[in-house]
Amino acid sequence: MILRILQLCYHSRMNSSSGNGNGGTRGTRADAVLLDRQYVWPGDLTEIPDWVYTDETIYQREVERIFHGPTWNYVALEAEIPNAGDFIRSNVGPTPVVVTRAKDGSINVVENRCSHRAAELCRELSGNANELVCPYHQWTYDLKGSLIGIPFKRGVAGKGGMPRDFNQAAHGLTRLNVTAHRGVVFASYRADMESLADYLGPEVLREFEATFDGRKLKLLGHYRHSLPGNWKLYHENLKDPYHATLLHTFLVTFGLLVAGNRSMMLTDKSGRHGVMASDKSETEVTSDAKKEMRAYK
Amino acid sequence: MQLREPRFMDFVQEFDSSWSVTMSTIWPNLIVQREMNTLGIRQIVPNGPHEFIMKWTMFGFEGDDAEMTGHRLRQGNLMGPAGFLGLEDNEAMKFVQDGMRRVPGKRHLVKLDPVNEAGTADTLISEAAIRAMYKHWRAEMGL
Repeated sequence: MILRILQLCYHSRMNSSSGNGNGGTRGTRADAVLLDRQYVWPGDLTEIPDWVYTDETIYQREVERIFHGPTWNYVALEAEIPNAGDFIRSNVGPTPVVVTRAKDGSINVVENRCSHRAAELCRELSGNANELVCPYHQWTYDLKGSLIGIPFKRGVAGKGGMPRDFNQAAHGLTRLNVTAHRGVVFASYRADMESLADYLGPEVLREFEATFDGRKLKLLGHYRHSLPGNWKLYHENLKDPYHATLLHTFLVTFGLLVAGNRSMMLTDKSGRHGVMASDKSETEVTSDAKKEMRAYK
Repeated sequence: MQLREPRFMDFVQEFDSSWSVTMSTIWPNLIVQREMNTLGIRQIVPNGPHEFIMKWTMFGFEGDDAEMTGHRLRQGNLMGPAGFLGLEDNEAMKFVQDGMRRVPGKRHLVKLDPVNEAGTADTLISEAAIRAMYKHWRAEMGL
């Protein structure tokens, strides 16, 4: 399949590239790349083109079709919002959301974007509150995202204010579809999502329930960091058991994972989920295996 | 080689599973880490094609005694931004992104285990699960 996307920056690119003497004139190979790029997957699945990881247009399409598409996105643990009024900031893809526990005990996921001027209104990473108040003009939302307060809605002394026909009920925060299983909360932009169990498939669900085995979770802590790479590389690294035996000499040295250990790289039927599983071994690394691993000491 | 802290490697059997380690990749943004007794959630937050943020939530269970909590935290040093394993993964991914950005316009190989086009593999020396992910990705992306 071929996806053709006309670059929106046609004119500015043409102007900025005219005169650099480096193939900037119309009709050259460089122009064809800029103006009408074709994304063609080369051949079969055994080779992956770089643009999958480096192209801005592909990334924007991933946000639209994957993170905002028919997927269940992890957003929080229930243990992070145990009480009514608790909230925690999270993300669905790059999009900031707030996960809240409303007064009725329900879990809600709303976009962290004020419907007035688009401000990312919730500033605390987590906390407890009765309502969400935008710091800019104090538009106020309840914990399910309904717009419940607009300062000076009717103006002052009969002047100014919002239009009479402004439909306040239609301007709440954007709400996402929510599901939770064994204390783990997921959200989706799609209202018509399949159940989480169907989404995971029976084999991945079984592994999920082996870890989240019904005991209540206790938080031990958080940390976060950025990584200078494409997000899919993290999935691939954990669908690549080959590297584990070579890059991680710690695993090999202490018998946690050795080529030859009982192991499995499971995928669900759709191919989107995976489980890399292995069993700790007390056996020594064979001399044949050592020869294959140059980093082993 | 010997560890000075042998408790680091202890595995307390607590799960109904035949595996001591499972790393689950739940599409599109969740990793569930069960590395012996250290448990964690990793949430992927992409930030453009060249960078993502990793948000970690380490957890145990209500009912863990102080010793078990200590064990989970100690063993947690395997992972994380400076963990014995995490550090190596993070660096390797940077090498890959740098390779693609600085020598652009190419493609790279996921050919291991050719008898298995895409899907579950029972050998470690396989890239069939990566191929399975791209089968799905291409369908979702219309590519």
